[in-house]
Amino acid sequence: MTQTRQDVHFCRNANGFLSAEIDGVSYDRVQLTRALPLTQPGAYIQIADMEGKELAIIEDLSALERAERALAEEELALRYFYPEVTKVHSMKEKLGSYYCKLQCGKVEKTIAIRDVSKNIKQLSGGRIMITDTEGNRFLIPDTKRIEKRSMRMIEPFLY
Amino acid sequence: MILQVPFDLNTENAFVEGQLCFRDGTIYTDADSLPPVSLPLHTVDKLVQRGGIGCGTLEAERKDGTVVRVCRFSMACVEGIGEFAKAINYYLETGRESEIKPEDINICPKCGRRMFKGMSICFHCVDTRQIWGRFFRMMRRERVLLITSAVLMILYNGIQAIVPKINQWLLDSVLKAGTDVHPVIEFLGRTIAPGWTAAQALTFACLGMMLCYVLGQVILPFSVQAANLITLRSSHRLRQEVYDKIQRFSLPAFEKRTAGDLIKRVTDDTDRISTFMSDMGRACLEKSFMLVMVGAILFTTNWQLALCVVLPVPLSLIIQRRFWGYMHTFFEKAWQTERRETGLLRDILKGIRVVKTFGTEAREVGKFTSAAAAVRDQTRRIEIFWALINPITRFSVIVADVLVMYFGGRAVLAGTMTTGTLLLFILYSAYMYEPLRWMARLPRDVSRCTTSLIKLYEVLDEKQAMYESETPVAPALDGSISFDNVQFGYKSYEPVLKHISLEIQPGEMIGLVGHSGAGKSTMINLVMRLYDADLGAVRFNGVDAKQIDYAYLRENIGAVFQETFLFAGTVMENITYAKPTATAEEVIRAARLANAHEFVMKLPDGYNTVVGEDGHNLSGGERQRIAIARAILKDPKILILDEATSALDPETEGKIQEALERLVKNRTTIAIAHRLSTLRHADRLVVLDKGEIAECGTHRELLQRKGIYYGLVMAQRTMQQARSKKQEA
Repeated sequence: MTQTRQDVHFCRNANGFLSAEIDGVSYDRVQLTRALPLTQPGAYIQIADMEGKELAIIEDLSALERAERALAEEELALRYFYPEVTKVHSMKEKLGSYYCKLQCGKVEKTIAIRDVSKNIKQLSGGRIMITDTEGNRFLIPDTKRIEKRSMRMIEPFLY
Repeated sequence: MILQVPFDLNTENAFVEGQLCFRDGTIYTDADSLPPVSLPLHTVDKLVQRGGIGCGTLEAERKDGTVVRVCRFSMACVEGIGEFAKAINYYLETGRESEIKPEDINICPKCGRRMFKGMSICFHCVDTRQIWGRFFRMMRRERVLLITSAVLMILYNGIQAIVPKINQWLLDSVLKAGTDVHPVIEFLGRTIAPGWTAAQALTFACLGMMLCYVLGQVILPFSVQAANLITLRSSHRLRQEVYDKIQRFSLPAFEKRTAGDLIKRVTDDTDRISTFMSDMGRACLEKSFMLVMVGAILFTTNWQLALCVVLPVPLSLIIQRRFWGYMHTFFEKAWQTERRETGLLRDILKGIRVVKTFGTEAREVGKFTSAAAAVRDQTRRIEIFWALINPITRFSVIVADVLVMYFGGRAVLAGTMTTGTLLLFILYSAYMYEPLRWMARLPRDVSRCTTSLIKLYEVLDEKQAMYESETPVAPALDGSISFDNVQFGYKSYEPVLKHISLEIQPGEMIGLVGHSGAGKSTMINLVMRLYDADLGAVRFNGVDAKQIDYAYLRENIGAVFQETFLFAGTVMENITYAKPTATAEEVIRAARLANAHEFVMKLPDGYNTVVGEDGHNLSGGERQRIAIARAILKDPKILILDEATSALDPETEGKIQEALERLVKNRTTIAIAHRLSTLRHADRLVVLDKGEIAECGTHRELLQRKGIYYGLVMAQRTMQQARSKKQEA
């Protein structure tokens, strides 16, 4: 697809879903995909039709007009889900799997982690990704900001 | 029809607890914090599941053209929602009802947790008592050896335990005659050596000690041997059972698990279990015997002093427990850094061409140096840690020694105890620690073994996913196959094939055409009955494939795939794989028809040449011809060719094409090929598009229709023209 800047506008369609107008052509419903979801979530956003065919790429979401940007971010939030961990309450081993009690915002969640060395991974920028057996990925956004007690529970599984 | 599955997200990406239900003709959601959605089924056209990253959305397309978001869910609920959507859509289409069982969506019926991938047992709810009950029943098979080993071990330890007694006797009765001695010793002294001189008694005691040592050393190897035998025998038996079971798995059962996981279960898990079994059977009896015997001796001799020996034990256990977590962490980290180092090395060596091409040697050396440095630092940290931790864990032993020395010494000074008894205590307290240490380690070993046992029993208990008729039939097959409104998907909510209806006449050649992912290979898998249709039926001679004897059906189907796997063995063995009773003459005839004879004769050992992993390397085309020879030898009624010639150069392809033409004659053939020219002999072409039959007819008919097939042919033609133009230039 072309890298030339395209004129992109977002609005809602009759059903309340995201709709786009690209270079004067309007598309009733589009989906957004991040090219670098982990390192640059706000940049290089692909706009595709519902079949997955790329229509355009937005280099930087902040270049959009405010209302439209809000629409795009809302759509992205619906498509991407990495719950953020605010606290680690406990980490217990049972039969080779770890049962980890986490605080995700207001909700307390107990997840099962198998093969901890593979499923607790340190990413760049002090982030930690925990994958549970159900396939959900939990993100600790910053190891420096999370309290020490929580870190101590996770620490043994990092390298 | 009543359906109910959980969903767990709201539109703000927060976890909620919700239920998606269908009841009384209405689809509705029920979550305390969310505005409920309620959709009468008659207004719904269909349900669409939209996948996101780490989450998904269920949408309802309504008859009036509007689309509504029904609910959002995380990965935990994907399968359940999928089943729900499938059941509703199926109901909307056909009016037939279905139900959702917990095992369909891999959720533990007890705790509602998703079960681990490839497991049908919930690790959280597993009844360990039942697991261990089974283990002990398994152990009974080795009871003779187990008892022998344990008895020998007890004997060995009993003899070893005599030595301190002799020491005591020596010190109290021989070296310092006259003081009061332990009644047992006095009795021994009187009965064994009445009227001996002190020197004679000394000789006797030393000889006795020597004898104990020799006897012990004679018994020990037998005991160890018996234990080894238990490990070997039980692991052999377990492996055989597991392997036998795995061989009988259906393909879906295989696909749940990776090959590596299964290999581990056959080797590592059986190993761990049998080691534990031999260790448990022996050590359990031996250690508890030691503990009870030595404990009894100590407590009857002087219970206050015995308490001094025993009391620091809990302290030691607490310290061990406390540091175990850190130790575990340290070792885990060391293991990880080492793994990273070897991984890096493997990566670099495997990709050395890339490294050389880009001239990045220096960068790779730098990467490896830092990984190696991490290993060095971690190892050093462990060494320092050990140096620190060792005195601490030994602290309790030292405390006990000091306590015994202090209180015992005072008693000796006060004349209430002999020096020999004090020595006895000091020597015996060492015997106490080994069993105690073993006991401290026990929970960890038990937990590890339980995991292995669960994995093992899970394989042994695997129910074949394929339906097996209780009264399988073996009808005469002439090669006619019919698809009757077949629907199938590897994942329940993603049908790969839909509404497939097709009658194939005996001896007909069908070419399957379509884009990749259109469902061609899936259709073939259904014919081979590697899977069963979800809906509808595949019939052979009018009999539902599910009713036909599995082995009998396979006997009548032959296949040549894109890649042929040759087992380690000779060419002869590989060709006769399909028919082990075939004579050499039959094999050579088949090889000739397959255009394989010529190259086989050029191999150094002819048909006896070893091929496969460690053998002679055959080219793709040669392997393919061996596969064709296999198929010819099998002489099946139905033949399947899945991209049989796609990985070959034009010349070889010509030869194989020729061989295939001989093979195809008088057989029902279903062939898949990307290169459409290879299907020119097909009686009919079936064009699949997104899992449905889009077009069906002869080459000429389809070209005239100017549909998908026409487009494919034209695209290949332009590509070929472009290629030949390039060659001309």
